[in-house]
Amino acid sequence: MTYEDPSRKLFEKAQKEQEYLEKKWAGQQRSVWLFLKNQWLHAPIPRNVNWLWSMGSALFILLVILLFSGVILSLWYVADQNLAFPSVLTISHQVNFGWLFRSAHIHGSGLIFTALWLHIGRSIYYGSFKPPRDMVWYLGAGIFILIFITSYLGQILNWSAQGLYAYGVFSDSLHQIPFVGDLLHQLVLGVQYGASPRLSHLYALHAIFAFLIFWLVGFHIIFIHISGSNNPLGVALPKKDHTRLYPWAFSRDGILVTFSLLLLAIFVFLFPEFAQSPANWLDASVKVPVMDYSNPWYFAAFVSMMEAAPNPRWGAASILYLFIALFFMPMIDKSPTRSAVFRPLYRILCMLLFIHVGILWLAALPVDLIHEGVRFWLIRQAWIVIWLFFPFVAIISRLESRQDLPSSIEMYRRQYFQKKRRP
Amino acid sequence: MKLQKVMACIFIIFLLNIANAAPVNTEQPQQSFDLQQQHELRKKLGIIVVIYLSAQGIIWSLWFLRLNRLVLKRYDRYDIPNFPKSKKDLPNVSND
Repeated sequence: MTYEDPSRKLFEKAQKEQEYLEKKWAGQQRSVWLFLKNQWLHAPIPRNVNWLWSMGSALFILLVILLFSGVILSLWYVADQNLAFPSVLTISHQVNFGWLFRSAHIHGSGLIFTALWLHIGRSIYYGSFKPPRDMVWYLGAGIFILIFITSYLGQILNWSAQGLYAYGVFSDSLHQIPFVGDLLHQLVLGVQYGASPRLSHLYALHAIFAFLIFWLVGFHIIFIHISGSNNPLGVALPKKDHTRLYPWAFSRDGILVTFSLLLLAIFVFLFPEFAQSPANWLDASVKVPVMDYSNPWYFAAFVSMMEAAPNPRWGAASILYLFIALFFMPMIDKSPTRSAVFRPLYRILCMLLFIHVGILWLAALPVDLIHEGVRFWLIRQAWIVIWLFFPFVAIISRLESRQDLPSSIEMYRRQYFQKKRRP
Repeated sequence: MKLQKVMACIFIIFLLNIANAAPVNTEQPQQSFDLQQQHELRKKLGIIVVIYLSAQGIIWSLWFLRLNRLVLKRYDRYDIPNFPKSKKDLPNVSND
């Protein structure tokens, strides 16, 4: 009779358990990879999408860079009235590569706004805001508003002469809001506890909003994967007109991401002071003449809108109007046709809007290219176009005649060639 | 894979390096700091990064151009024999 060691049995049992756990872990790893493969790399993409569809990837990478550099900056930043500016100088001058992260944070937000205008313009032109992607649009509009507020708060945080000026504008604008202005002013800035908590309040909001934006972007991406990407024709294309994201669309995303990183590197390393006010390098206690303040370049279009308005109240109202109207775009535009390719009147309106937003952008750059009077009338005209765009869209979307829509890319090309063949 | 590991190591050393700095100096923050040196470092690093990213961009573009040609080849002419690719390929059809 052989003697069986009881500890050996236990050992074998433990070994089996270990193997089971390892297999389970491997299975989980595999399932995460499968999830990414199915949801991201194998996601169906219409094969007629153009360059503007890659803007989302560039935006996501820029947002990751902003969050990462923001976390690094937060290790050194002190949200106190007396210590904020010295801590910013310490980051720029003494922390190893602190200048790199600060610069990447500033110019990254500038590039994000540039990419955002293109991303939003593409959605308006090709009707990506209409059902079934309306939820994606609402989330996106919310993200746009949050990014605007967050970047404005970030401008205040360095508590330089420029930061103090921006704080003054922010504080006054809160006061100007009818009915709830004073309450908001107290809640947001904490002024009922004296002057000191205001910076820490703004810093907390800046950080909370940053993570909130990231959270919303997650939902934005999930919803677009549920409803599927739109395409330049704006019709639901059959399966044969789709391709997988990897490798074709993936390689195009790679080009745009690399290009935006290249732009960021050029600003950060070679032109770190591009469109930055010298008042950013002066302490808040230094008195600077009003002419020396300049807003950061990512607010260019908004600054011009403020300037074009008859008074600051109208200026603030026009920015608020732009945000609200953009948010409710799916309700304003009721046309069942999505893409402007099949809506001639809407196409003209969109072109007018894009040209005038471009004018607003360029007009705020600190370069004197044209006569001051001409410049003012151009931005006033752009301001009026922005006010009129949304009501006009509401009217023409209900009046315009509908065109026959193609059912596939092939049908569209056939229609196109047949039209050309007519004398 | 080796390259990725090397890059990861460099990145971790870089991160550790960030933590190494002087404490916040409230009185004279610009004392122990050489602006000229920082500018030179920034420019040198900038040129390296810009060249690297440009090369990366060219590689991505070449890959995309190749794939684009393949994708167009594979999808563009299915189920229509002799589908016209441009105006020149259109047959002459008289209207009478």
